[in-house]
Amino acid sequence: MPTKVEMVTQIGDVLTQIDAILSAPNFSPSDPSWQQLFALRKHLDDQQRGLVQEIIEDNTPSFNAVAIELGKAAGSLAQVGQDITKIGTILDTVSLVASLVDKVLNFVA
Amino acid sequence: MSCSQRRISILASCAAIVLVFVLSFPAGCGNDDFARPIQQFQSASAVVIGAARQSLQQMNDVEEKSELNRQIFEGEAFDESKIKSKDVISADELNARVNALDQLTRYTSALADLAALKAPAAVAQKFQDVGSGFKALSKDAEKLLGASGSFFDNPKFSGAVQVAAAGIGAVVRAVEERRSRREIEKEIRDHDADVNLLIKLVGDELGLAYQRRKQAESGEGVFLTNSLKLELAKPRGGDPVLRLLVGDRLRAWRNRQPALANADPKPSVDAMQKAHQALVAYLTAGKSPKNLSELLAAAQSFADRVQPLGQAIAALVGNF
Repeated sequence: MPTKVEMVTQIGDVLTQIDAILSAPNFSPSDPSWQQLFALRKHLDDQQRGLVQEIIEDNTPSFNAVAIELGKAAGSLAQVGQDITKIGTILDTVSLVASLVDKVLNFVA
Repeated sequence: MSCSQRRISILASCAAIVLVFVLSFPAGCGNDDFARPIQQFQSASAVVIGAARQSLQQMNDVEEKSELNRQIFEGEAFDESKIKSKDVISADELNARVNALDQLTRYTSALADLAALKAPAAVAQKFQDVGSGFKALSKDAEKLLGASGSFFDNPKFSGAVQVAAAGIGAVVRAVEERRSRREIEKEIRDHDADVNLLIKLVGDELGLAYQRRKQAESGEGVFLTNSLKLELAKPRGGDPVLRLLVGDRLRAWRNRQPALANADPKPSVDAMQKAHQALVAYLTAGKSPKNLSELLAAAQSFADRVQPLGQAIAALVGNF
């Protein structure tokens, strides 16, 4: 069963990938998609900090179910890599990751 | 008896005595067998404790710097209160975590003395010191329960400390009361899960602290590369002095990345836990050569694991 620590690490991997995309030389900060991804990055970073701070029971079936979904989403994002031509897919997947983390944050005791 | 017969008889007696010695002291019973793994354990633990202290000490700076970078990059007015609001750990929380690791190391060291066939009476003082250390740690951890807005799960930490302290207290009592070695070993075995729980919890917390640092560093890379991109997008490539300044920070950031990759203390705490478990298995399960070889391997693995951590922490001192 995935733990909270593993989930935080997984979010970290997603953030690192987002940062690599945002830093790509051909992806300008003036591009609206860049701005959107940057906003999602800030949100996910806050969520990661929140997840670390909150007391969450990570040995429950509901946590496990979300953790599995999150793992799948992170995996599909990793497959896209830093391909800016697929920015639509990247934004959708990062939004999905953020919504899954929101679900976990709602498990707070 | 002829001279040659006497010589053969003496040689046979000597061989028998040597054989008795060899059979009486199978691998693992002598103190020498312990010197190396225990020294490795203690040196490696010192590195882990130093790394833990540094990782936790830098947590507030890491979060503050990250917020400051964001304000600068997004062109917001400097706001000290927003920066300070990102602080995540108090001095008391930090000291309690580092002290927990220190006391756990002392406990393992006391167990090693016991395993090295020292009489319980000879190691009583060391166990009593560990017992007192855990009592003090328990009180400190209890005080954290009231801390608000904490980054870490203080109730969980405090609970794990109380349980480990109670378990170690039982071992200390068994040593103080000069109970039989078998009874002492039983207490050690019965309470080791509690001790391991605390080691794991501290390791997990350090892993989380490392994740936040990794994210702050990664975010800084975004601010720097994109500041450069924005400057380059200006007519004639923007201000060359500004480009050089950002370039210098980008160079320093890049130079930190290899050290940062090895600065996660969690794998070293995991290796420390395995070495502790191997020692307890050796001590409480008949001191077999198999257990000894597992202990030697675990101590070596721990020493190997902390080497890159120690180098990374040294490289990152004051450099974030």
